[in-house]
Amino acid sequence: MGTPPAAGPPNPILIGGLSWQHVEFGAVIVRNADGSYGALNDAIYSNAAPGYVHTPDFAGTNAQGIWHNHPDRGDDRQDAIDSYPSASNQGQRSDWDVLQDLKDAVAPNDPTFDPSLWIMGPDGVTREFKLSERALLENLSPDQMAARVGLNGRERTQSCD
Amino acid sequence: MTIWTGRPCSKVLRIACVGALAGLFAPVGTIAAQSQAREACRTNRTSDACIRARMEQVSAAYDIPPLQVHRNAGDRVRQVFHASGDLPMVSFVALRGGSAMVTVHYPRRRDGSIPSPLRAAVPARVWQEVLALPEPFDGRPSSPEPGTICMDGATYLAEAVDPGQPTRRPATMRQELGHDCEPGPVPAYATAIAGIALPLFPACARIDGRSYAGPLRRLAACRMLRGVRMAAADVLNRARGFGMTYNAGDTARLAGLFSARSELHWDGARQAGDPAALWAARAAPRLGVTRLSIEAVEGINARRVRLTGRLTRAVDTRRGTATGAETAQVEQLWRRDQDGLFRVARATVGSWEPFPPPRHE
Repeated sequence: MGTPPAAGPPNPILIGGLSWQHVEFGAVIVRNADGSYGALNDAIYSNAAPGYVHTPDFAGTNAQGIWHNHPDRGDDRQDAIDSYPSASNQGQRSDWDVLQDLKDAVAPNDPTFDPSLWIMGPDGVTREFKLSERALLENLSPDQMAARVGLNGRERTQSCD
Repeated sequence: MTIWTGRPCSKVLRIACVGALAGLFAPVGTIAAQSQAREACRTNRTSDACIRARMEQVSAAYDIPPLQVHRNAGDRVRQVFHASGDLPMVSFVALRGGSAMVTVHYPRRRDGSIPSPLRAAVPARVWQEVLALPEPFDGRPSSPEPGTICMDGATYLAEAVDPGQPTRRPATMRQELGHDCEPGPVPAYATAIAGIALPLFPACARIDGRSYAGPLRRLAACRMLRGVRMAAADVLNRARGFGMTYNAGDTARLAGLFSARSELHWDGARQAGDPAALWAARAAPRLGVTRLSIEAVEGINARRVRLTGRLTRAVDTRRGTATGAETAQVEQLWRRDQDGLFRVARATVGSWEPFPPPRHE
């Protein structure tokens, strides 16, 4: 499975008057019939909220992963942590849980199907995380994430600022 | 997710009451509460055990008296907790026979200490506005909207107390959990409460809403302001221009932020030349972006403000192996010029060190 050439939004500085630095955006990344990648419904979604985003369900699609951003919370330690997929909070589903849902919905019996989370961090850089890496990355401590352990090499875009 | 409705004899109330008290009185309760919530919610997120554990987790992050204290005292309360880790809780309280006050409580720091809260008197008309808000306490457990996926989100705990009337009705307490990803009235109530509170703190209201989206984020950012807070808020707004540096030529967003006679000192040496160009050149990352995180903005007086923070940038390391960032301390002294705008008169940046820096706790 290849890497989408542009998992992030085409012009993510401002979408609908909202800044990626302050609100969340999200898109389900699908594979088109010609083998190229794109966003489900050719759309990037936002609830105009700084802390969450709704996207369409990926059931019934050939989704390959999910792209979304984590806005700037103004704290360098938190910003480093927010460069990773979010952990479960308050018993809520984590980004990894959502990615597992995607695999279960799209190709539950295909051991080669390894969907991706593309997380655009507060620095505007989109990084790719594969479901197969979940155990390794989900067990990082907050201190390890603050030190950006395992982040380098995952960049799929320049910062979009 | 209605947890209890204030009927003193109800089983639900007793369960929730004990749970909330345990969380509020546990100074080291945050980690334990997180673990309890994870375990209790593993199989059923709408179970009493899960809801009770989530309430404990939310309230354990703050240091405020339990709701029962207010009920027993005959107070009236409207307040909302947040479990996002960085957002404040907003609490409107009218003590028995007194006028209302609003307090913005910040969650515990990583070292367990509690930041100083903000307090303000609440005019009677504003208090009536708070009391007139549609209450979120009659919701039902809900599921995410069908056909959608929800990512991230914060949990909220809304609480209310109303005094009883002798021989007529007892005092009532209500609690309700909500989450951004679960349709329900609590998140909107939280935003409304914060929106009413914000203008009562003029320096917080002065923080640019384009940089800090929503009233809760502005109240959260207000924690950085010290001293003459109105002046500090003006500098906080201006300083966002320093937020990100991408390369040595990245000076456009710094235009106008340095005064004509600004001094720039970097790693112990005064830098000669255009300070904006020098800043970009010295801050430029080897890859990615260099970010300025602001830690405190202190208004020395109405014309002089000191900003402290930290530059952080990534460094190139082999994939998946090692620490990949370095950081430098920053202090900027801002002065208000004749045109009324603050500009950096002197900036001092320390040497680059591995990130995260050693803890001094």
